[in-house]
Amino acid sequence: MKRTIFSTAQKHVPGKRRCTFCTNQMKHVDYKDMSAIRPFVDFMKRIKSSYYTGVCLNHQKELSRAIKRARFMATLPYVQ
Amino acid sequence: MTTDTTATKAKEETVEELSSAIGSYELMVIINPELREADLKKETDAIEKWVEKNKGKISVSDLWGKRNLAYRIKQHLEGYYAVFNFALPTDRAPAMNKMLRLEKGIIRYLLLTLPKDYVYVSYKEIKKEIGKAEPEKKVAEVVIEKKIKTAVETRHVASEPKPKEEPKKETAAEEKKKEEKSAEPVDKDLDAKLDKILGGNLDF
Ligand SMILES: [Zn+2]
Repeated sequence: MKRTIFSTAQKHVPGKRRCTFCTNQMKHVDYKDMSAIRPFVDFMKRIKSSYYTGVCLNHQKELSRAIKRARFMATLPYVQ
Repeated sequence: MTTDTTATKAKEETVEELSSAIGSYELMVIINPELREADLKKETDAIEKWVEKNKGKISVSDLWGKRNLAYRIKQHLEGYYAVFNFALPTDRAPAMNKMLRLEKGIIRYLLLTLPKDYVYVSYKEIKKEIGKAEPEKKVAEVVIEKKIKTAVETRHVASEPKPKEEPKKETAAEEKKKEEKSAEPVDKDLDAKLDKILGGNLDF
């Protein structure tokens, strides 16, 4: 499996996509893949706003679903 | 008569075929950590057998092993994780939900449909990636573990009634623990501040 890097720190350039899932060409976000989820959860384990992370709408939806599934299966806490 | 019955049978069969489209599913289970290994195998085997009995086909069965839970589930802090990928007639999915709900060894389960172009990545590979990606998070986890331990200890101390001679020692011990406790939130705040400072610059 190729190693992908997930960052929440892509500068906004007009006319360019800055969603990490789009740049990594991932269609879906897996709830078991914690390395993909962790950067998009803040210290208190709340979902970071896409305004700051630059995730596109489709992927933000997938991501929030993945985070909620991970919480349900106790691989990620609800609060800290 | 005979022709009629055969015709109806044929009709029923076609109806069944139409209704039972085959879907691909993923199941994640958390199994009671207090079970022995033999019983654990029984649980996983029971699931696999059920799927095969209902005309399903298992493609992946991955036992993650014992893992810490992020929070208590039915008073357990640990659990055996197992993941299955399989194909199953879609009309059997509700029955599977019911079966899993009634199974005693299973603490929690999640049954999902899979997207078409899904490729399963084994737990070992995911674990490697987690290890590489974020060594910092381990510190936070350690802090939480400490907090839980101290909480449990203090609870025990509070719940046990003791004779009159000892209270002085108890109070001394409690004070120590309180000091520890008061020290931890500071660390936590520091971590939060650091996160804000480090992450804040990166965000913009
Ligand atoms: Zn995207």
